[in-house]
Amino acid sequence: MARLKLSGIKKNFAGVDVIKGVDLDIEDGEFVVFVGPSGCGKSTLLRLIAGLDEISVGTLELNGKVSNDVPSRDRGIAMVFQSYALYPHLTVAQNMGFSLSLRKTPKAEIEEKVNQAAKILQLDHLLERKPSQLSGGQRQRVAIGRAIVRQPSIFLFDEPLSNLDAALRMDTRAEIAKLHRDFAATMIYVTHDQVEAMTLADKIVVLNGGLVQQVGAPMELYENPCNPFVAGFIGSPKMNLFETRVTALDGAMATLDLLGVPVSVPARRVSAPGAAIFGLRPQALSLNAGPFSFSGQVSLIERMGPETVINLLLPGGKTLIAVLPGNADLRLDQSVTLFFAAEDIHLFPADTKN
Amino acid sequence: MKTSSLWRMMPLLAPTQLLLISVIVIPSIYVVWLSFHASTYGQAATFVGIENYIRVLGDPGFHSALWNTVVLVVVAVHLELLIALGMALLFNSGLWGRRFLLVAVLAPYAVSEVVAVAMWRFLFDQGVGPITVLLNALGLPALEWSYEPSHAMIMIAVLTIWMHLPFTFVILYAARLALPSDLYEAARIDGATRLQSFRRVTMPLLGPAILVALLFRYIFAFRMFSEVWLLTGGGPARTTEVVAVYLYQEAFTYSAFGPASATAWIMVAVSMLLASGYILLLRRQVKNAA
Repeated sequence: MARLKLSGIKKNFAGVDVIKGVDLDIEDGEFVVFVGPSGCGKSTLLRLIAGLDEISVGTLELNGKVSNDVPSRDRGIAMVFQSYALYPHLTVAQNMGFSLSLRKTPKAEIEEKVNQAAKILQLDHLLERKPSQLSGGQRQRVAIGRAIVRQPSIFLFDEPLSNLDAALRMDTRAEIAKLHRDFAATMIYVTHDQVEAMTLADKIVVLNGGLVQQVGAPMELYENPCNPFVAGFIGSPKMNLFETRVTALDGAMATLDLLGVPVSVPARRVSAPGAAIFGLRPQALSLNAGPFSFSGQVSLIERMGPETVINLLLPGGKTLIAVLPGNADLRLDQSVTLFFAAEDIHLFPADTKN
Repeated sequence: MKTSSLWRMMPLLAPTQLLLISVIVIPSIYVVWLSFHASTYGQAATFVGIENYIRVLGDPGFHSALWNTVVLVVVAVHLELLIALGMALLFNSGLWGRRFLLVAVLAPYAVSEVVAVAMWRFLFDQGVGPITVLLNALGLPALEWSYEPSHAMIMIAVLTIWMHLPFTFVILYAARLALPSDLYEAARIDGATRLQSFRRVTMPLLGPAILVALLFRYIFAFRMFSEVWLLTGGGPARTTEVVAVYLYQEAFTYSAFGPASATAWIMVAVSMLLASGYILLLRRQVKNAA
């Protein structure tokens, strides 16, 4: 049982605000991912929850009780560090049982719990090794094992996969997802990788510049980003974003200037005429005829196998990224028209950039 | 094939080898040779077998010197280690004015031993020394090191700790700085108190550095000479003599080079024995820790 509530959390280091007021509710058993670019404050926020740094302003409630001053060890948390932070002088088994041995748990019980966790993570044969004798992936599993042994009510992961190679990252990601299903514990996971966020999370918290940009389920964020930052951050390749102008608003429809052509599209989040940002996912573009279109010259082709990513140089110098299915029959410098539908258009007021 | 490549390497290695042989190996062998002979100024050396060793090992003066040395090594080196460890942890925990303090702590190492001893003799001068005056003003007994042997030993120990503390401190401080902070964060989350972190994380990880510091300091301290020679000259009445001073007296006061050489080799043997015993013991402890 672990509910977490952050209210008006701020953190400053030497006068610099790193977290600028975060409100967030995390339900029991939820898998929450903090995602954002480097320096957005996601790791700091995790450290505040862990009790490794002190909260400057605001309250942290654990199960309804204000817990700002509760020491880390009494918060019922376990944390997996990016650097693994394994004790180099201890064996795998001793690393995993460290927290229990600190609490003077009987040896037999420690051994049983360590063996249990080792079995889950397939570390059985490595228990007597020292961390220096393990590969990166094995070290990461030991770090996760150390967390499991504590049987915490909240797991905290600080970019746990960023030191692993691509294949191992995918395996470990699946393992973490399985752990969440098996343990039904609350998990808070920090990453800068939106693929990890999309695949693991029940709820994604997008952070930028020390502020929460949007909170929601992965597909909700993908389909309905609340501002250009979230729109650009979630989804790969990045959403195409162009500055534009809404010239008239008529109910739910906005008339805007799209590269010199006036078009009428759903107004979405725009409520007044003026500067606006027009967004379109690369996957929304197609070679099949549709109501709206962009024409330009192909300046880059990346053939991935199942899809082809192209850059289209538009008149006026802007570049449009498009993802076309299969091996698209295109060549460099070819003039191409790409089509899209009205419902794929995202429109944001220009002042919501952050 | 191995031999031929060795021959080809010889010209390149030779200068270093020659240097080592001429400054270390030949003098050492000469001292071994000398230790089996009776030799003094103006006389040809005559072979006496192990008589020099028997004489030195049976000499009450040597016994007292060896005892003094062992006491000083054991007390001073361990106290020094404790102080250096405490200071290293204090510096690491974020001390105000750390840069300045670091210079201050390291300064004794830059001071000539002769100057250092002169300074301490002045500080503890039994008539006008500032520390003597201060102790008297506080109603405390002053160190009567020039005629009270136990006080003289304390004075020597304090002096040797002061002179060598920078060495031990630097080794331990560097080792502590090299420990990553996330280990301590992991320990905090694992539920370790500060004391538990120290005992179960810091100490085992500093173990190798402590071993290195101890090993060097045992060997240095066993050869201790200038502190004693310049401070008390081994007095009063040879009561504070250490082995190196005994050796010096044999060689240059009594011109008995044979026994002096035998003493030198006994020193080497004892200091190696002392060091290796300790190192083995500590290494086992470090391995078994936690």
